[in-house]
Amino acid sequence: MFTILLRCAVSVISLCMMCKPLLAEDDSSFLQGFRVGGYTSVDLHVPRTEPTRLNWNELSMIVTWDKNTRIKFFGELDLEDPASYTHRQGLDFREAYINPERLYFDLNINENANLRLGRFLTPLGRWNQLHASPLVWTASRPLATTELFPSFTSGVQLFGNLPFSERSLDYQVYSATMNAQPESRGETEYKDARGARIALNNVFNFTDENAGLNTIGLNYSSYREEQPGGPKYRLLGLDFLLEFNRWELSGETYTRKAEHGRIGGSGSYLQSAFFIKSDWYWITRLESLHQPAAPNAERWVLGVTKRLKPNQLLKFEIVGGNGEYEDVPRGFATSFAMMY
Amino acid sequence: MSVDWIKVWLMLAGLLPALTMADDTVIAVIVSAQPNFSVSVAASELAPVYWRKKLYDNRGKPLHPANLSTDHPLRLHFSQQVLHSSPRSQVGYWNELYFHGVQPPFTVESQEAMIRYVAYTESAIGYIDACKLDERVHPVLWVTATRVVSEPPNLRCNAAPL
Repeated sequence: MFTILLRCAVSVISLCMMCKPLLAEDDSSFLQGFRVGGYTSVDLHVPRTEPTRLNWNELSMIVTWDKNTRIKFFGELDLEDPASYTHRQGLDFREAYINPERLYFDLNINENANLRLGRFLTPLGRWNQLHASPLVWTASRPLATTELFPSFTSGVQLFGNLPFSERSLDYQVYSATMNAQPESRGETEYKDARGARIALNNVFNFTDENAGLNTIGLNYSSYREEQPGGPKYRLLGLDFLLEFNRWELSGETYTRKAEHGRIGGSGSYLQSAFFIKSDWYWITRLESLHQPAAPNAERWVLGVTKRLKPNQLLKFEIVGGNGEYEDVPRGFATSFAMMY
Repeated sequence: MSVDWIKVWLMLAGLLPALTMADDTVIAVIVSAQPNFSVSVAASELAPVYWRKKLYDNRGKPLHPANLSTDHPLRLHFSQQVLHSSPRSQVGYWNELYFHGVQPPFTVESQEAMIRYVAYTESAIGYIDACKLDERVHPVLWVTATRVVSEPPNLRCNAAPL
């Protein structure tokens, strides 16, 4: 089903490109609406129990089309795990695969409402929607943001911003219309996702000159595990971001209930980034994850991150605590990430 | 230590002019004076427009906010009053928006460049020192030292401009 969506999108773009010369307008103006960018990251992991591993995580290409009309296009195509190196296996390219991470059209309805059609990041919390390596302080991702809900949804989303007084409210309401997902290794697969997120911006209306962003978000989602007879879950979550003076505090917490009142699990993280000096930041994170059919985890992360340039981060961190998850091993990790 | 002594010290240190400019400066939020390029902006919408959360006006026209360069004193003042943060602390935010395919506001180097960009760009919004207003642009909002207002405040245009 997703392949159909991909083909449709490519067809629409192709048709637009073919039809445009028939119009009286300048053809180059259509092409000028395209922008290409992306990001990439490389990690070195020294886990407690596994061999040391150098990993090229992804090579991402982001394509957008915006010609000042009510319709916009966004696409992100990732080459995941292009290469890795371990002392035992040497250089390995076999884990590489192509992942069409995001592919959607945005249609502006009015000044406060937009419609998104396609595959998008599930609007749950902050990390899931900003998970790219150059955007996050740590190489490791909080378990609560990977294990409890679907990272992507293919369907429809209504979103917008409602300003009032000194504040504004972001809203996102979504529903999956297609359940078949492209390959995404290592993740639990879900279907029938639907839910909503609202986020209040400028909660505290700080006026101090050291003030920054401050946002609080409320999340609700329901979805079903993909496997036959898989349980249906209802998830409730809270997230926040607070920037003040040299500090950035952020966190997310989720609680999940399965059908018939069964416990579905829960997870949280609380993170701080403290600006030390010369674009160096001290990072501290505490996190937990509880799932019925998987090991519990209580983790801590300590690290330093340098913003080399506005679009480049260099990270060093130690992940400790308990609970072993293959994607986020405990131990030392360093990472370089850049956006282009 | 009395306030006067502090002022004397600041003056000797060469800091008083800068302090005075920051306190007295009134920023005019401007749109094009050409009716077909003009756009309406409410005070409550200014921050969402500059955060690029509000991308369209009520006619479905894409909005084109413009900023002065990050180290321009007027940009710092505008950012502080309207966005409640410094341009430096917004780096992460603009990276996040770029990740979602949204471009930050267009950047110009001078107030004259700002006037030209706003005057000749459809649905453009910018800001300049209120004392630099001319017939090419139309002020819609005013950013004072404490708030954003829709009525023009008393201007003292003999003060040294930013």
